[in-house]
Amino acid sequence: MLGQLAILAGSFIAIVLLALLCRVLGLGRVATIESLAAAGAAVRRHQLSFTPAMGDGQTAGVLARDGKAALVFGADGRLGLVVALGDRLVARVLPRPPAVETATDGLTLRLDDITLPRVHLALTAADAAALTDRLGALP
Amino acid sequence: MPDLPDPVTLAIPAFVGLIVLEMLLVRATGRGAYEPRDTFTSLALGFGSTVSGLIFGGAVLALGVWLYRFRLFDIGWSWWAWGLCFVLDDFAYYWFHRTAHRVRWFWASHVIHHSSQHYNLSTALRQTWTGPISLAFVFRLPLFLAGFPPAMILFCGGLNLIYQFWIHTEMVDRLPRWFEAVMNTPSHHRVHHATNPRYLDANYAGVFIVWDRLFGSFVPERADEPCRYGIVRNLGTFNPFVAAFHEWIGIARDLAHARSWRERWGCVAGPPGWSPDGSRDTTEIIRARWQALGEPAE
Ligand SMILES: [Zn+2]
Ligand SMILES: [Zn+2]
Repeated sequence: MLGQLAILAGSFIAIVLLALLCRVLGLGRVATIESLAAAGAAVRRHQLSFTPAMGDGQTAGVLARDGKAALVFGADGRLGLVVALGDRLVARVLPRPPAVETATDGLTLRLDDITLPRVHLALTAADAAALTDRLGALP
Repeated sequence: MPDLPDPVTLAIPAFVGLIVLEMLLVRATGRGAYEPRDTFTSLALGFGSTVSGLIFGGAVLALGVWLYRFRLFDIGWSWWAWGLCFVLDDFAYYWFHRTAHRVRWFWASHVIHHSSQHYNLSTALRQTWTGPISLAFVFRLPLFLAGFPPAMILFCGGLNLIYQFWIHTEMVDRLPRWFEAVMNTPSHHRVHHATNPRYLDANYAGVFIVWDRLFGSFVPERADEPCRYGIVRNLGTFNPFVAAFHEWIGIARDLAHARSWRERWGCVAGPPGWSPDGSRDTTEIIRARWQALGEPAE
């Protein structure tokens, strides 16, 4: 029993040290979403049935100012979402428009998804208001 | 009956040393990838899996020992019994693992192992917390009934797990052809962890890839299509508790909304992604969509 506890304690210390070493070595660059086109491509990679809508020849949607998240409008009316998580991206096609809350520097989207419950979109006040209106007008 | 050590516990220092070595190699070569929080989550899940094993392992072993009383043969401890036990245990692992990807009840436990978008040695330690709850051990029970000594079966299972550690790496490209033909390798297992439509639900092997070749689940890695690791709906958080329990919560929610016994059965025993109205994606739906587009490489 004592031996097992010692192994568990040693393992836990090793876990913390390994994660620290990973950080000290500078591994894991932070991902940013370069453009709405890149966001649209990420959603489509996630789900091939999603085709980004094109407005004026450009992917239609909103890219957060910090490049950490993007909302992409689909050609069929669905919404695609991309979020940076560490050095990778996470994408979703939303079954319905998300609940939106105003935050200090943009909007917080609330999703019915325990694996991605909240997404912050850094936006100017004007862009945040415009997006809120647009999402509110969706069926 | 000899008192055998737990080989996995003995291997922990080697696991740690090899992870450090791989991190240094990633840093030096730019090949492969690590992310500190992802690594922490993987290792924390491995830690939790060990705790879960301490809690439930005794009961599982007791069941095996009880079944061993009704054994068909007295196989004993000869050298050939060790070899046969290792191969049959790997065969049982293949079928466990295949079921774990095709039946949501077992997937809910196994998904933990696939929940990282990274593929490195730390991913190998991203192990389930809920294996005993999902009854994953039933696949190994025939070995007890056949008459292999319980300690031998557990030892072989431990060796199998240790073998699977080193194949979780992008540092090794292809190994000699004879080795790739018989053994599970980094290349084969990268495909297993990939979500590209071409690679979904393939290469279930533990140690010997021959099971996949025999039972039609083998897919080779292609140079023109790099693996995209993770799950079909990747986690939007590094929280290890979400990784450990999210699919169980999903099953509970779907059961609460099910309107018939057919739907209840489907959301427990159907393939991952099954839904009554087809609104979610199974491997079959994803692959059909990809085939309709002419099977583009990603
Ligand atoms: Zn698997
Ligand atoms: Zn694996």
